[in-house]
Amino acid sequence: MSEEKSPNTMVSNDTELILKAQQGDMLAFEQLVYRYDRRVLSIAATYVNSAEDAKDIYQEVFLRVYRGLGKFELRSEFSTWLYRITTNVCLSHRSRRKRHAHSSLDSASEGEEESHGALPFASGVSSDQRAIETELSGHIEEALRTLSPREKLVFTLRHFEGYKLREIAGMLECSEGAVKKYLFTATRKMRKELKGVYG
Amino acid sequence: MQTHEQYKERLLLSIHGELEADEQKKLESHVADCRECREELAHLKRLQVAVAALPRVSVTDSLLQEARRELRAAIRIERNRTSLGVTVGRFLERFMAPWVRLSAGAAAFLAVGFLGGALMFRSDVSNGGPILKQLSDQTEVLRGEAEITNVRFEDADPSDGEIAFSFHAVSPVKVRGNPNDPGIQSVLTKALMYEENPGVRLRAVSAITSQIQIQLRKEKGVDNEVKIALINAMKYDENPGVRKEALHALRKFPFDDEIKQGLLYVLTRDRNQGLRVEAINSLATAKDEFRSSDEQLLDVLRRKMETDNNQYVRLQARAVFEEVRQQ
Ligand SMILES: [Zn+2]
Repeated sequence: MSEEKSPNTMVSNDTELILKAQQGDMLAFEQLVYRYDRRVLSIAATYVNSAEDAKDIYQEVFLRVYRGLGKFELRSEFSTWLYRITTNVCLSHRSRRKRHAHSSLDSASEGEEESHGALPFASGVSSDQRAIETELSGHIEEALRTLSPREKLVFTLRHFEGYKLREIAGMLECSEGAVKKYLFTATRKMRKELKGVYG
Repeated sequence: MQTHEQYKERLLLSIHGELEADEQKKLESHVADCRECREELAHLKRLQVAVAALPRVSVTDSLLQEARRELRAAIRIERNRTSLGVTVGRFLERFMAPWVRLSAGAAAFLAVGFLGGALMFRSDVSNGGPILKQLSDQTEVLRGEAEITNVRFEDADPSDGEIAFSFHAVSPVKVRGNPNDPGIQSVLTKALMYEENPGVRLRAVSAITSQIQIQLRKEKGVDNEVKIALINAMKYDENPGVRKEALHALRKFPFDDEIKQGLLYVLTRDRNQGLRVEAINSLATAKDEFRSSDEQLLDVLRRKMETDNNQYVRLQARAVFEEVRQQ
């Protein structure tokens, strides 16, 4: 992570980079992208839970930014615009591959070696315990698939990315009340799907 | 006074930390006295814990790097698509004009032109008219200097009187200009970043390298943007040859922290052993610049000397590690 910092701190603000990028300065465009792209990828990865699909979303988001930047008005906040595009692309995303639908563990290990470190299994856990957790994960993945795209996005952004409901409302261009409703509905559906599975 | 039902609705907001402090307090005192709400709360918490334990794809540096490389490639395709026709003309016009004026002093010859083409030709096959004749009629814009490569037939069946094919036309544009001209640097930087043809990107790097030499000889600073473009190419270009050339070009620059970070990135992330060898060599050359207090550097070196699957990288990492630690 630390190695990402230095080249990006060169230029003081987004506005400067946007103006340059609008003149066709691709280096400025890239610097602008690199300021935010980890978060975009992270939102996408959380939503689809597949490295390949997350990269597809990432690419679509920044191609839209690339195409739309010329018309972007500096009155508005770049990050707001970017995250709206991100959530829109997520919501309309259809997985290219069916593979990842089977097991969350498959998709988690599709990526890099390092991602194993992210698996929440403590090393001292017995294999029985692991099997139970794996099964539970499968049930939760199933349950997530019963949510509508918006419910799933709100639910995952809240649970895995820790966004505040107000922030999610900004990203989805809707009211905080509406986000609460999505979260309530999503939670109710999850409980119904997982009845008797956990706890 | 709130009802039990109203409290129950707030439990979910409460476990997500979305209640104001006073609301939270009121809720807590209700929950203390209400068994139903206590059970509901426990249930919600169990769900939260179960969901939090779900394995998710994590965004590693290498996943991000892959995404960036793929984005670059996608934008290259997009740019080359839109740069056909009118845009190409405008592009060349905009950048050609000032160069013609600037021909004083230490002139540098650069070759950076590139056109991507995907055109449909009607071919009068019954006359047996050669394709190349059709081609030269259509491509006057290239002034006959174009080198046509990658001809691909999409419809090679001549029976319907029509064939379709696409090609790449690499057209060297000789430019005479002052190497300090920001226009030239800008075009080279663009060529390095967004030309689809890796050969053109390679040539852009070598043109940049020759400029750096001229400028450093004159004790002039080199444009920082050029350096960043080279660092990014070294890290993210999908072609290992281009990454390597960029790494070589950076050796001409005075060593600094940005270059160091770039080299450490290559050393830790690049899957190409040759690139990691080059990176550790660059770091070895610059070892006098490092301090024994540079924990980040020492960490990377320690990991590399123990785990890199290339023996040379391991040995060299150990050597640099020992030297830096004694400084
Ligand atoms: Zn109650």
